[in-house]
Amino acid sequence: MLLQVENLSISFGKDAPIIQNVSFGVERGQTLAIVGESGSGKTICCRALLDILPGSARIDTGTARFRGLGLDIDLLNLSNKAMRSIRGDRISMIFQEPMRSLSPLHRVGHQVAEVLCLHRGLPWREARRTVKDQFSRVGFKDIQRAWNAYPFEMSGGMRQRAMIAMAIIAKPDVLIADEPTTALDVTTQAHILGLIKDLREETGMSVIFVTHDLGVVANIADSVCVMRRGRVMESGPVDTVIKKPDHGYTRKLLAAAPVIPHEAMPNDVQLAEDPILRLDSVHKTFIIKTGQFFGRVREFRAVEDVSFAIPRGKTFAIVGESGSGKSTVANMVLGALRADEGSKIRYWPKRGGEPLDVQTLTGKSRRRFQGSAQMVFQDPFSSLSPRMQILDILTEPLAIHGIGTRKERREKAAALIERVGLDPGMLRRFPHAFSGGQRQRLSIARALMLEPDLLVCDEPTSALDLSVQAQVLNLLEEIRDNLGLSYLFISHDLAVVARVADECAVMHQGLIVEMAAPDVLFTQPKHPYTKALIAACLEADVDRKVNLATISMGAGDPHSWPSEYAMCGTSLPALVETVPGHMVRIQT
Amino acid sequence: MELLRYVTFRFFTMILTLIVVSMLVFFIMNLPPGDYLSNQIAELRATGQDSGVAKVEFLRREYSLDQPLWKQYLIWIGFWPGPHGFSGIIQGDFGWSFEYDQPVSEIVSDALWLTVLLNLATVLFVYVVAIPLGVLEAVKSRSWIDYTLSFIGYLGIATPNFLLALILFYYGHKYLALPVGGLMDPQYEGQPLSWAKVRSVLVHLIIPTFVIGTAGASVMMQRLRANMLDELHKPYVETARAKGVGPIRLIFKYPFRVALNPFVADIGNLLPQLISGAVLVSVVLGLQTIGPALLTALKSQDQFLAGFILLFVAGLTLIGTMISDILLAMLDPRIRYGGHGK
Repeated sequence: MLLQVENLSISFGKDAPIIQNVSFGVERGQTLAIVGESGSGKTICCRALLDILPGSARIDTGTARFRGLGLDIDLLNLSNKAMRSIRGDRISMIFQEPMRSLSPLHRVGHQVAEVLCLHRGLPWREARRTVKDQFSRVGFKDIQRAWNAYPFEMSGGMRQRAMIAMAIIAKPDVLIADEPTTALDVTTQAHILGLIKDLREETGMSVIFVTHDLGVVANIADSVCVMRRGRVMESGPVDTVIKKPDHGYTRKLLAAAPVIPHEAMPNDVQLAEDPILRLDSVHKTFIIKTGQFFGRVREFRAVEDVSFAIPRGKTFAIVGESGSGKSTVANMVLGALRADEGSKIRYWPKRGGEPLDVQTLTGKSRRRFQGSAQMVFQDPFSSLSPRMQILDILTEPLAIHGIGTRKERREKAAALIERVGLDPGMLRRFPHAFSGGQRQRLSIARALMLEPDLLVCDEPTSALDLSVQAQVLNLLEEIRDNLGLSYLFISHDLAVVARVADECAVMHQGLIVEMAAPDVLFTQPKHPYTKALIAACLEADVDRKVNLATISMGAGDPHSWPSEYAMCGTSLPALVETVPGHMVRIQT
Repeated sequence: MELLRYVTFRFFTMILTLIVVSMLVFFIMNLPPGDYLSNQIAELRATGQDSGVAKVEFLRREYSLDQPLWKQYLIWIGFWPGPHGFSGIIQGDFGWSFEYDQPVSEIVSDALWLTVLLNLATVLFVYVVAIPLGVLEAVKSRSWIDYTLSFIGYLGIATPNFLLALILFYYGHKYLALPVGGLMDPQYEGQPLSWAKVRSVLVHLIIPTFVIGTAGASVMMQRLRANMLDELHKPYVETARAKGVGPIRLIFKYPFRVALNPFVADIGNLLPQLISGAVLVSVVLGLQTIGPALLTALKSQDQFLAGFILLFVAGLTLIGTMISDILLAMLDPRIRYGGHGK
């Protein structure tokens, strides 16, 4: 074993240990995946190896034997100085949030080169050459630009590449990757995973991969260690654990992972004549300033020619990667953003009634519309005010709209908090006292306070654990059916969409490229972009491993698509109904 | 290159702002009815001293106080010829102080430089004290070091300047033989610059700097502590730790750089605060800064003196703001590249 952790126990302050007798090991050149939901202690265990735990944490027992290049040491028992020479050199780490894990004020090249200067004492010039080699290996196309760039000039995937370059530039024995792809799009995720895999094979390093995603585990790990509440539940080779899990918890985790259907199921959705909301050729152009200080003004088309209708009582989903314009559509639907001239967004409060034009709402009618169309946000941690009690958060919308007396509002809040599966006794608490899943329930309750007809859900489960995600999706479905709500569901996760949606549109660079019922869409995708998205979904199935290199190409450049799909210049193919209920952007 | 263009651009906006400020200063000072001389004429008439009236009338013409307001302003600045041709602020003629019966330049010349000196010393003191202590507080947060420094800091904020001045006045003199009162020994006043004079000025600076700077340093220390605490636990600091950066360098290269921004932005604001805060202290300690002169001038509507001092303070502030803007652009690429990206 290159690294063998035995009986690790960690506690915070005087509390009971949160990590208890954890043992795991990784062989040279192998990948160990540590799997668990949030709060399982997987990250803490890895941080303990590099002694970068929070200040109040204390290691009670345990050893971590590390036999790197001429070393045989216990990582948990090192002087500060010895530990600093290990960090970044023999063992390095990649973090979850590429957006925040690089210093915003230093050039990316500088931050990577610093590792070499620290550990190898290389002069700047030489470090620079090595870094540039490394940059080309992690897949930067314009190396000079990457060297000079600041983190905020890069996309999430680029930053994670830079982080990987930084982590492996000193050729470490062990790379610890803490959820490195959780914040990324599926094709970018495939690229980063493929990159880590290739680099591991090339350099012979070992990888400890911390993740909650069993699809990722099945595709890259050699061995798995399943953790829950600070204890190891099950560990062993990946084939055994994923295929024949011994422990009930592992089985539960596997069951909670939603999958994309492989076979078409009978499609009973009829596109109703009774839409609650209808968008007709909606465009949105943003004006951006570029460059330093005196940038030129550039137009950016975030949304182009988007038309769809949400049938009353159904769920319409938009899938797409970041930057596809899906959230812009959501904002326009709610009237928070104004679409370009000529776009039409209409809302029918009642079946067969007079439609409201969302674009031109003013004063009173706007308020009424806002009451009937509500939003559930992505991040349950930042969308609830930390300084307000749950009761105040829930009753605030009613107070703003001047509905009911104080007592009635309270009763309603109590009823709704029960409706979403929480206890009315919790109304006096503050948001920090709740877990992520509970907070998302509260967000849903808040959105329901005004008795809306339309709920816009912007990635409502992407910040949640899988088992919690399943519960929240159940809740959303149950509420929809019982209260007769209609949903506009925004997500990047195809498996989630496959589960909840009645109708689904795939967006790419501001355009809808394909639209159909999910069963049709996921079993008979037509458009190259849809196909690429589906291929990039990793399944928790060791027999269905995908070729990471192929799918990381994504759909490739729109210019390289087959000519009938090609989107170049002015010749934009129209969205055509190829078979009833299945629209594709294709040249006819 | 981009930076150079920005500096030029910033310089021109500063000049424009300065012109607008000068207008405001001039018109606000002329808002109360009458001026120093018309008040005097009324007084002379009332007491029957008609002989003096002629002289004052002459002064009114001499300083164009008989002209319409907009013309007075242009003459004062030097954009319009007065009775003796172009002779305004931009030509180096700061006008006449009626109260002191001397040219403004003679009254303020020494005081001006001493003010600048005192304020520079104070700003330096504020930064030199606040930065290391603030960082230390944040790094050792929730330890006795943090609590002790916070306590001293709050004491510093809460103690009124003039009180602190009086206390130091007494004890500094009694135990440390520090000179009090004035900014130099009387024998050097009006003397040419010499080593002995410089030394005398420096020794005299100690107490005023301390008095004026304490509150500012305490406030900045507490704010730096808060900012650093926000930054210290950000992921990019973890990244730096995980690559093996040593503890001191880790703090100063990463979180400190980010936490510093608001303080660089503060350079411009600090100057007027210090000057207005220092007026009382200057009176108590008998410093020959322009603070006391400004106070007298404002009370007696001595418009050229007051106007010049106000314009001077505004100029200092604008220069400070420009410097801080340029420094910010140099320090923080996110500002340089115009705010896209978070």
